Amino acid sequence: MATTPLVSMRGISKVYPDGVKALENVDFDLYPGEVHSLLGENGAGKTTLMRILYGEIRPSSGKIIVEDREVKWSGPWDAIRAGIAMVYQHFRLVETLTVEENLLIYLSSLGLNRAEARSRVEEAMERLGLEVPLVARVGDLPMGVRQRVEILKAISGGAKVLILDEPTSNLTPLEVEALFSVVERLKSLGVSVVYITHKLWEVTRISDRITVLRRGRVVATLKNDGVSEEELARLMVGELAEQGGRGARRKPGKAALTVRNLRVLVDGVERLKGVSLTVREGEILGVAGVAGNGQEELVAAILGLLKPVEGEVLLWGKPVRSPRDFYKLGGGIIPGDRSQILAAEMSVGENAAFIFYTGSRKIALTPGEVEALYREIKDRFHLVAPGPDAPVGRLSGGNQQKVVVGSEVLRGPKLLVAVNPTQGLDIATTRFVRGLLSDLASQGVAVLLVSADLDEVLELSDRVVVMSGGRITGELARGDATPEKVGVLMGA
Amino acid sequence: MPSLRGLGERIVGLWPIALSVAAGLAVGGATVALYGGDPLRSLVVLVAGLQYYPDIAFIAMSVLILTGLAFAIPLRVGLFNIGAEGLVILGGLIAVVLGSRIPSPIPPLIVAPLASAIVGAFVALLRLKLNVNEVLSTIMINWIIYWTALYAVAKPLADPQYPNRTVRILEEAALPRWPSERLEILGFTVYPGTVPSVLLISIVVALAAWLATFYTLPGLRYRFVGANESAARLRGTSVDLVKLLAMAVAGGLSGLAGAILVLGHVGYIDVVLSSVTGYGFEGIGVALVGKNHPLGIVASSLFFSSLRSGSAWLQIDQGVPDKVADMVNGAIVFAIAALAGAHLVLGHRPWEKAAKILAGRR
Repeated sequence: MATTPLVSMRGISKVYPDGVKALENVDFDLYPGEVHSLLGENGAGKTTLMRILYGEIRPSSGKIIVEDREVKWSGPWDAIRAGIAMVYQHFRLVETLTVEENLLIYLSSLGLNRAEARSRVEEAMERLGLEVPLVARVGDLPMGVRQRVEILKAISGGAKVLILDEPTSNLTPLEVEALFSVVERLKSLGVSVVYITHKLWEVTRISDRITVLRRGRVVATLKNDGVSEEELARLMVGELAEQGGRGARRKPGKAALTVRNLRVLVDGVERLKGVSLTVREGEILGVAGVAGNGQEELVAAILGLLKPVEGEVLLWGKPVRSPRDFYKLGGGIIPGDRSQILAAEMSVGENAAFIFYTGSRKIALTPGEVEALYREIKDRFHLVAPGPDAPVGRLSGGNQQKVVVGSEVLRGPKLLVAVNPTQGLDIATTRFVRGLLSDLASQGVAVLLVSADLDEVLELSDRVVVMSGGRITGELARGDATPEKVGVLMGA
Repeated sequence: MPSLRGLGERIVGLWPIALSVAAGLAVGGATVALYGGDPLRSLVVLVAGLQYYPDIAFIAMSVLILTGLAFAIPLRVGLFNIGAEGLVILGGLIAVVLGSRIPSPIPPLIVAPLASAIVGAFVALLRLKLNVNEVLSTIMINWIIYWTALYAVAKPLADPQYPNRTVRILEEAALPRWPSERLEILGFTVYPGTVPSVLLISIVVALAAWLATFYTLPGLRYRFVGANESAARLRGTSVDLVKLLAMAVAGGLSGLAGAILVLGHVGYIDVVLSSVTGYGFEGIGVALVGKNHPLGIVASSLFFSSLRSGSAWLQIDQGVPDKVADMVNGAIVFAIAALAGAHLVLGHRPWEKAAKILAGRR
């Protein structure tokens, strides 16, 4: 390994205007020809750090040094000209154009003419040992091939640093192996690779060095010689916060939600590979895992929004085939992303009524009824809002969540699916929502808690299942669930 | 209940519309000046045009309410329906066919909207099942209906005695007339004729649209489909069905507009279709100025119909072409579209953002 780093980031911090600290005083070095993994949970700051290196985000403070010169990017183009390229999880290719056209667009914007671009592409294909069908339409190609097009694009554009953001999230296992050999090849050509991931086995498999980020800080930078997945998991997840108190639970009752051997395909990719679970009345079943491992698809399938190719979803023994069935059979949901359920420009009252009257056959809806509903949510859930007519988008995130939670809980669901229910909320509202879920379970409601926040899952759940790669990789009872055990299952 | 502050905000929210109307009138005034006329006087004539041909103006207003709604209702769920133009002609044709044979206005008032609703639903199905853009399909359907109608009025429906038009509807098929021939209102003498019947139909439809949209649960779901489609889907609303119904209702209203034009006004269709064309497209402007709100559409249709009848008088009064009204319409729609575009690019506080861009601090 060379002695001077190719890229050196020093004391990088990023504070967003709303006060969120995405990164705090992060140091990161990248040597020529090394594969350097950035490991961390969602929101740890991995992608933010690399978007800063790529010129897409400006750091609040800190220096970037490339080949011994301090640089200040005004945008990604500056970074690309300096030989730094990034391949995003969601590819940036024009699907309706051919591979060749995509490559030409990119290279011509770097100032190459058609003939030069062609020869660069051919040269890069040869050096990388990559074959891509140049005349095929990108939209017709599998994800693995599209990714190769992205890598080819970067290398023929002269990249010396290649940032891969969660590169295996859309790939089949075979494609993953193919990607690894491409990464090996890049390394042998002297290209430095930054590999952003949360998957432990990938990290130990291909990295030279590993930097672990947690909540915007570097926890450790290690060489990949004999470091165990358990140790990485512990570094990534951190020590568990003090567990909160919990109301006395009844003994769990009948099975409320049964998911049986669920297999779901999205755009031809298998997102759920045979998932089974049961939630009983009066218990909270936590689903832990890094986001993007099938949780979203699991929830969509439970709601009847995604049709499984195999398996079934039952509520009290009756099949759910559409959202209508789900609500009719007593289901309710609190989505983590409030934009999935609220219409920002519509009023608080209208949003509340829309959620509260789900599945109702009522016709007339008077302003008086809407106002009464608003009052009830305001009183019982401590909603702070200017009034029922204010657009819901003007409320703070916490109060928006109270509108969602309040309207849904007042409906009286017997099974509640809560997805990242406290994401982005302040501490007080987080406590309120967690307390509410706990109370509901004590009252006999079945709760399925799907959350990327491990603390939350461990604090609230009676049982924990861990999802990874579209499967349930393990189930742990309450006392048995430690961050280390869950962490290992998360990377399994 | 809407607070005073909410009302104030709503009125302030109308500034883009006011600005667009002002821009349209400015274009109109400038054109009149170019022709050597008196711009100020002309604008007064245009805006207060209602007084010159009140009966024609109120008929036009009624028709524009319906075609305005036909544009506004699908727009709320993200569909751009410009098929009203063709369906007004279709509704008119059906009214001529049935009205010239059956001595009652009821059959055409049912069949015309129903047939047009089927066409509207067909457009929605093309969009939902085959992803055919509704703008394209409605343009094409407009032309299909136009040329078919042109043939129909000249051949099968032509009146042997008056080759310039179709047969006339039976007297019993016309909409009911006001019991007395003349009325004195505010010192004006008016000849109500069928105007109250026509206006009543449109106003009732607009009120029903208003109540259904804002004071019912299905209406709330319909608005959610437009405001956040994935939320609607998440809560079990059949998004496709809502869109299909919106297009069917829009089609039905367009057909109804054609029917009341024939049954309540002309009684026949002329050979170049001039009695039934133009209303569909003008409905787009009516809906935009009315901010897609049923009551707003009632108000803006009054404005547009006033422009129509004012422009006819303008030709006599100032000797300028009556197309000035079309220019005003066009300029208003253009200004609204430009402001909406600016809003898309510049976001909620356009002036701040524009200033930032100009200062190079994007």
